[in-house]
Amino acid sequence: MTTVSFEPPYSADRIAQLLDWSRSHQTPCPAAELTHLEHLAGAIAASDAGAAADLATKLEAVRTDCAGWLRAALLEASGCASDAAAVLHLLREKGAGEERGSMMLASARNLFAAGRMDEVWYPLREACKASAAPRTLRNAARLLAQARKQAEAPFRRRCRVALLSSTTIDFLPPILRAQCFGHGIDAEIYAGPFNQFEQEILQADSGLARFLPDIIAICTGWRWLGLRDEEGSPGEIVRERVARLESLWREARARFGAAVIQFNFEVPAFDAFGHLSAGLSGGRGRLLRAINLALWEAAAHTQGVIILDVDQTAARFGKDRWHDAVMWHTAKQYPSAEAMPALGHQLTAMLRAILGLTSKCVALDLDGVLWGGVIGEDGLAGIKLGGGPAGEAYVDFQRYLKSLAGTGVLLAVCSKNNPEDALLPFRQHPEMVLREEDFTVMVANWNAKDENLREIAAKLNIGLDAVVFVDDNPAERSRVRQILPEVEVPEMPADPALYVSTLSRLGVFETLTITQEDRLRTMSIRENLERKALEASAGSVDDYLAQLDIKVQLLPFDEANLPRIVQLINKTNQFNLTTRRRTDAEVRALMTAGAYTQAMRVRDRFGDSGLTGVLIAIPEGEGLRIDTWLMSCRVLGRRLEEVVFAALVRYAAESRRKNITAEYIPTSKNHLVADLYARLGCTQTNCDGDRRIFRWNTDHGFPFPPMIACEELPAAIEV
Amino acid sequence: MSFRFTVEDAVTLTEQRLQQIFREAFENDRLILSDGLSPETMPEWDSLAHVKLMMGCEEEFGVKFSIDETVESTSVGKIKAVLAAKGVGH
Repeated sequence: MTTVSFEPPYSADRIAQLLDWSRSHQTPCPAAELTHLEHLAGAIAASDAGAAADLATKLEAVRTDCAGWLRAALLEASGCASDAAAVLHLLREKGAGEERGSMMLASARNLFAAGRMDEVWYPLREACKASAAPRTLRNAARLLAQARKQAEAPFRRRCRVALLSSTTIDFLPPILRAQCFGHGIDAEIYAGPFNQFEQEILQADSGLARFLPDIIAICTGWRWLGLRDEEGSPGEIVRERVARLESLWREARARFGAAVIQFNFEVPAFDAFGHLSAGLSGGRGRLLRAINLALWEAAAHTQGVIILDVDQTAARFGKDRWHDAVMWHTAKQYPSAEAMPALGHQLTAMLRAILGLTSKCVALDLDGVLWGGVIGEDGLAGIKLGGGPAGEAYVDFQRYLKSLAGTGVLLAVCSKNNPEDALLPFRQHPEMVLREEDFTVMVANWNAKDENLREIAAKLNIGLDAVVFVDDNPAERSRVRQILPEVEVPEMPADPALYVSTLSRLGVFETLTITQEDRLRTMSIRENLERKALEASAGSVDDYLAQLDIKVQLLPFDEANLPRIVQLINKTNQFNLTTRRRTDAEVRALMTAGAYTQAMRVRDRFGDSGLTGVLIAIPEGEGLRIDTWLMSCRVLGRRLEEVVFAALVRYAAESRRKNITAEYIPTSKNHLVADLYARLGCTQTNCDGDRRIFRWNTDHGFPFPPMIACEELPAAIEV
Repeated sequence: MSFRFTVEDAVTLTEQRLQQIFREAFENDRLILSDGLSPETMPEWDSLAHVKLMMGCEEEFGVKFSIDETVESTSVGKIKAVLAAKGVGH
């Protein structure tokens, strides 16, 4: 420990001493030290502007990170934001965790002060993602609010979130706003009054009703349950409390059509009955666990309700720190202020799932990620995989990835290797858990990784913002972040033992349901690649389609297929004419109102693609208006749009609708279908900005493509 | 090599650090700290702001306030006295 004295006045001696210190400080500064240095820079600049400027100049020649940071802080304190931003531009990619958060925030702050609005968003978003410190996140939220007054911030989704709580959670909204921004969500947040969540949901003119929420989070703390340490009739209590919450969900769904996020209950770490709290039939610990299980059970049977696992979130954070007794007694604050980022992070993960932002693909480096060492140099026998502590960690990580693939996340390889070296472990290493068939795309070459990531996204027909790139090399990560900022690039720890927890903490794979289509996705994508091979060998497109032996089923929405339909409505980007995102309740409302609904299932000789198309048309006047039409990218290029349109035209004619109105609403991702209606032969009637309106007169039929077998079915289970 | 403040710096910087905590809690970058600031002189110093100030001090100075200290820290002077009793600035 070296003590450097910095009291004013800042004489030449002192400055020299500080320079010496910064020169000899070779290791990265921890976040607390970064804050101290900012204060120090502020104090120097305030007492002697000349000394601050002089020191900043001298620090320019010092190559340590701490010198760079101190220089940036001095420049900022002296009002030279643009110069400070230039220093931070190099520095900000060097830190991890809280240090990264602090540096990114300082970079954003200086870019903002320098008026360089276009450059503010990237470091600000990275600060929001990297930090779990309440103060950094609060300051990030404040900067975001200021910056948004001057320029349009980039967002992927907007939503109105109501937080209804049984405790004081006033610290959560700004933190949540920052974290949501980090994930591309523009969250307008309403925090209901303390412990009035039932009234808010039930009363006609509550603040909640005026707010018009898309999503309601019912943030109940365990104390709300009013459980004694031991209860006489536990079964009754569990039923009563869960029924009370269930009736709130129904009310929230019916009145607002909002998705509901219900907090489950922390099992607190302190208990008079000790271990018996969970052992005794009426113990509080046992009741809390029973209530949590009952909530999951109830949510599984209620559309549009998901459970946020507070108990797990608290356990991961540390239950002793989750609870702050002083703040509970003085301000009814729960959880503790320092725990709010952990809670906000989990809540953001649930919002991502609700808003259809679940990441779709993990693109993996090989050496140092799936195994230790370098296959091209160390050979099959030399890489670390199984058979020892480090090797076991890689096996464990592979198991995690295999399970992830089972939920519908696609795996891809993105490696700098000779292709034959890259494949060797997959084919010959006995400890490999992942096999070639677990991957949809394997790219191993010597091209830049950003190019390979583009290729992977293009092959899988997904956006780069749905890709998570996992690489152990900081230089590769940094390059991808700068060239492809939309790709999610987690900071991977040096130790492979921490890979599983690092990926699982990201919260980007949370999803509302896992459908059969999700479980079989990898197989289905691989089948698609075989189809492409057939396409290349067939003479014409129609020959190819005939050889595919396509069978299409068209059926109305029903209780069984609705979860998949809602999933597609909320995540399909490319073949999506209107990109109208809708909740389960909104889709049901359209059905009840008499909309024509059509779900499409497709299979061919290579396999079953499952439910991959959705169309909703609403009767309007004498015609029908296509409200929603989308198809999964997995089934494009097979003239299926003609099948769907032919069926719609026939339905319209049969139900004596004179015409069909269709619209194309452009987004950044649906250029693919900009000309669809024109190609189908519809007449453009109107052009409202980029939005185009078309019409089809039902006096004219539309032919079904002859090489595709189409079957129209009634609903299996009526809603 | 690690880095820490000497006693004299700490006196100066406690003022400055505390001022920053107040600026962040009240979202006012021009706020100037003085010992007389209190809920009586600042209408925006409500119960939520008070919790923000307490939390800010705990985060910044690595200390923990008791219930009594939280309830009694109702001016800048009093907050400084509580911090001083915990060894901050001395």
